[in-house]
Amino acid sequence: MRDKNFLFWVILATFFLVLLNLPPTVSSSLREFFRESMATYQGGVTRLMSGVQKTSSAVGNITEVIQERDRLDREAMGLRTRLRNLEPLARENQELRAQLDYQRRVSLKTVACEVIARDDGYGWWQTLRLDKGRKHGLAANMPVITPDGVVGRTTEVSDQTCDVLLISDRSFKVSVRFDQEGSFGILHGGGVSLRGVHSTGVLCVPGPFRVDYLRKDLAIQAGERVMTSGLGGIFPPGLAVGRVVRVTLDETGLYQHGDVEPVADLGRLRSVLVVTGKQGENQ
Amino acid sequence: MTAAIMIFLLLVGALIQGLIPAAAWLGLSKPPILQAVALYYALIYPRGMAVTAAILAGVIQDTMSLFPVGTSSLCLVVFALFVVQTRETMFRDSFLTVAVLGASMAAFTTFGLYGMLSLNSLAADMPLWWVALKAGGNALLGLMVAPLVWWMADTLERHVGLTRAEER
Repeated sequence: MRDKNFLFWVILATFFLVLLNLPPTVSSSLREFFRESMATYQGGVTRLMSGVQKTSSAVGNITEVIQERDRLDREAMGLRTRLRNLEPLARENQELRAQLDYQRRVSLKTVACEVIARDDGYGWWQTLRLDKGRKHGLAANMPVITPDGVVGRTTEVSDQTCDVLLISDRSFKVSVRFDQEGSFGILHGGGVSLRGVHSTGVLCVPGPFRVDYLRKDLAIQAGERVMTSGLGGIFPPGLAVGRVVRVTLDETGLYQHGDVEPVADLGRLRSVLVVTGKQGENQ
Repeated sequence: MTAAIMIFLLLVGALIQGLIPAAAWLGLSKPPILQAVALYYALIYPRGMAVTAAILAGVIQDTMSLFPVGTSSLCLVVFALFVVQTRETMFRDSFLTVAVLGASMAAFTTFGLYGMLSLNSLAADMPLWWVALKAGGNALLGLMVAPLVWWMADTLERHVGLTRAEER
């Protein structure tokens, strides 16, 4: 009996030694296997819930829906007019850029993805799971954006799914540039805020991002736009990240740090764009 | 049949755990359904089965998150073995016992995982107050979820004709 007991502990200890030191290829294959197995069901349930939510909301607010449609019609008409007025300006802008020999703004090659799950399965990191993966040209460390701005970067990718670390996660870091001031800094996520308006739709309001170690003589104003700097190799320059909420001196009085609010609505993401490269660039 | 039921419970548990959104005021905790399944097996089944359930629950949990594979398994196995050693001294069929153990397991696992992350230098961005809030949130959810999972697993096993050793 005692021998059997001893054998049990030896086997268990050996098993954990092996499990905790699995080679990266084996552990990533294991992760891929489970993610792929779960993705179909996760996607199905997410779509079902979304459908139910949309239907119940449409039935409940039919008058509001009609009013919203009319308002959107009017807004679209206004935007079409504005667009027509902007066309000559865009042409003029292009000509000036060409004259000044500016490098043309490079448009990004993106893959549209649907969000099939939020948070990692245990809630330690702020992540998303997308319905596209390696087969659609995605790889790890690709920027993830919405038309509003940066959302995060891809982490683990399998054939049909992809995980995204959100910009609001505390472990997320990105090099940024202040639009007017032109100075650079490293921005990191602020986790989730315990204050703010939480609802059943948005249970987690992201806390403000932080940019630390800014020189104290920089005159950064509240409201200033914060963009990606292009340094660091993952994010192309010029993607909107957020707006400065406040700038304060740190405890030592040697540096400033800035609080930045996100421009992308991270609490309600349904679909995102993964930047796979630049137009005209070979994969 | 017992193994099939265990795998079914773990996979359904993982799916539900992944889908339920996390709330900020609970430290982004998710209902610890996988842990509750591991607890069920630790309270009822022999040591080998309890350890297998804890390892599988941990591996599934780790593959769903960014934890190194095996981290959760180690925490769950330690707690499962503690339960196996002490279960004869408990009223293990009482919902209260299951609820208290569910809460304890969730809090223990949270601190255990934080410790493991710290050892791997992966917890530098996580403030202690946040981990404490998370442990509290997990414990609260464990308190509610463990008896529910217990009841569902027990009902399922009885429906498919599995009986416990003490009832044979």
